Amino acid sequence: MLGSSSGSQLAYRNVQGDVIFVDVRLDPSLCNKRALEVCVSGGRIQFVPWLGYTSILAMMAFITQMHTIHLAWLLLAVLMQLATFVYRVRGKIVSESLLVVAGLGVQTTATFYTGKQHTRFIPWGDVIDIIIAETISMQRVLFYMALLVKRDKAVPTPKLIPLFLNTWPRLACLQHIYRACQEVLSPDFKVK
Amino acid sequence: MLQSVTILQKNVSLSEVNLVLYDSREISESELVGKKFLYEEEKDHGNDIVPYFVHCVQRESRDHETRVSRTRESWTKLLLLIIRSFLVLSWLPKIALGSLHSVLVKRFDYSSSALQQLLLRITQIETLEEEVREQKRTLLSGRLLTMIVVDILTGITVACIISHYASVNDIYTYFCSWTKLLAGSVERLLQWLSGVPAGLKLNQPLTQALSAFFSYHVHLWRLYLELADPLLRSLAWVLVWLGMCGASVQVAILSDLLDLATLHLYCFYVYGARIHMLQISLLGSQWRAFRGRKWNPLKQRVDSHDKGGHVSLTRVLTAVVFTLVIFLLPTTTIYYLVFVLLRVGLNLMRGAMSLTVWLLNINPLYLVLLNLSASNRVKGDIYFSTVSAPEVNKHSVCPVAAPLVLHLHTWPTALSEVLVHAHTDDFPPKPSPDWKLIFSSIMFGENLL
Repeated sequence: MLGSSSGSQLAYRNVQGDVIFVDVRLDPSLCNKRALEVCVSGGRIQFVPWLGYTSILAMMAFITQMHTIHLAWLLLAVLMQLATFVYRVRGKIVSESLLVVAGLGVQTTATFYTGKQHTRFIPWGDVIDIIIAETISMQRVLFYMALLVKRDKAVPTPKLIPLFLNTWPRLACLQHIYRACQEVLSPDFKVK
Repeated sequence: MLQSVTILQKNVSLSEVNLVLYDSREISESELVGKKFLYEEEKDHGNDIVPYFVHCVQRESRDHETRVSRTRESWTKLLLLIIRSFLVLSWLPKIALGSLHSVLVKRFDYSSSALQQLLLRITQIETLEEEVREQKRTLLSGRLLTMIVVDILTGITVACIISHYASVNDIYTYFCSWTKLLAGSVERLLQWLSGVPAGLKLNQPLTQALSAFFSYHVHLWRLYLELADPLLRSLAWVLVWLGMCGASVQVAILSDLLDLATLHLYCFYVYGARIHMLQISLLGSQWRAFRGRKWNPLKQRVDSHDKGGHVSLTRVLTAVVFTLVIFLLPTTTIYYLVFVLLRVGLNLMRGAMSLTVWLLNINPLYLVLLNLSASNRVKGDIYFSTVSAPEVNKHSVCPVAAPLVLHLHTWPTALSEVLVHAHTDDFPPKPSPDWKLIFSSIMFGENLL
């Protein structure tokens, strides 16, 4: 759970226990506390189990002589397997990054396995604060980082936008990012 | 390589400068970005640069706008002439149709979808005229223009195809024979109900009476159709020419004709629903009265009200009425069920047609084409990308005096956002039925479908 640095990347663990890498591209201490860019990447796709399952199924189909009896069903099964595989590969988020620039705004980017990027930009005037909140799901308590954003049309309650929902870093990593963010958000306030 | 920056004759330290590189054409051509990052004059944007920046770029581009070419001017003039002549022609029909629509809605509580669609089309053309007159190429004018052109072309194509196979007279005779067939099958249905329908044993005197009542109604309907024949024939001509206004008007007219042709089924449904509601409410009130309770409409709850005691006239009457209604319930329920199913089926068809009309009205073709051609006008979102710092700076501990370099790019907005949050008087909202209301009106029969 402790962070260990290797070069410029830090290795932390995510909620499921897998290793994720945190890449700090713009440090506030190097840019006069103006900007921060953090990129959290994890979530490798594991091909080996998928290959294992496919070979077992193929052997079963060959043993039961499916290609002579029900050719259409076999083709259907193959197509469905390919379709689920393509769907899972397309929807897999490999890395998420957070860019905070004082005076401009906050931007979150999610990069997919296929290279596509999904961004969301919130202007500085709408940002209230960055917080670490906890949620209870089934049998465990999860910590997540969220952005407090002003809702339009003068509604007093702010909107909560959770960040890093696909890479799920653990508390130590979140604290590291939180400290860096607070240096940009409120540069006069000293965070312990 | 940036050497120094001076603002108001004062030297600004480079470590406090954010350098943003952007493409001014992308921001100035996009109108959605201006709407998303709204610039309000009164608010202090000292700490929130992005809306002010977008506003300045767009204002600058507006001031430096070049003259439009001659061909585009002549095209807009021609378009304006066509639209204006159409509006002048349709001024009198618009008033007539509007008053007819309001009379129908107020007196008969019936909103004719063909009239609605025609009035909507006229409103859209009015808005289009306003936009074209101001010489701006907005998204709204483009969308309206493509939608109207696609609609009219589809309408004329469909009319040509149909007239290739049959003339108006043939279509009208086919429609008449279809309505007569419908009346005949309804009569056969009623005769089946008066016997032993699906093996169910119904109360014979009641079912004979109901069947006779409904059959007489169908007979009157047939008479009415025969009398109204010549008038409807001339109306058919008018409707076909009106259909040339677009495919959505044709579908709306079809939906109205379906309503008109199945008017007797609607009447039967209303009779059945009223009888059913009477029965259900009687059952409920007598059941409560037998137990010594009463529904209090003032406080909207059930109160106890036991005046006579256990063996009193009230109790006896309650028991008698309850038993009567319970034994007559299956018969009336069968009739009600049959007519409710017919009504629900017709409503489903009407719903499908109104969904088609809505789809034709909010044609997203223009936006999809713009998206595919990566045009700047559909871009509504911005994102920044950083330039990676050179390696030598990473190992230094003290802060570097260098400006922060960012690239500004624009990003197209999601199609659903532009479609859904569009102008509601030109583009109607999606017709979504209230399922809870439908279910409760089927079960209790208080509100009519």
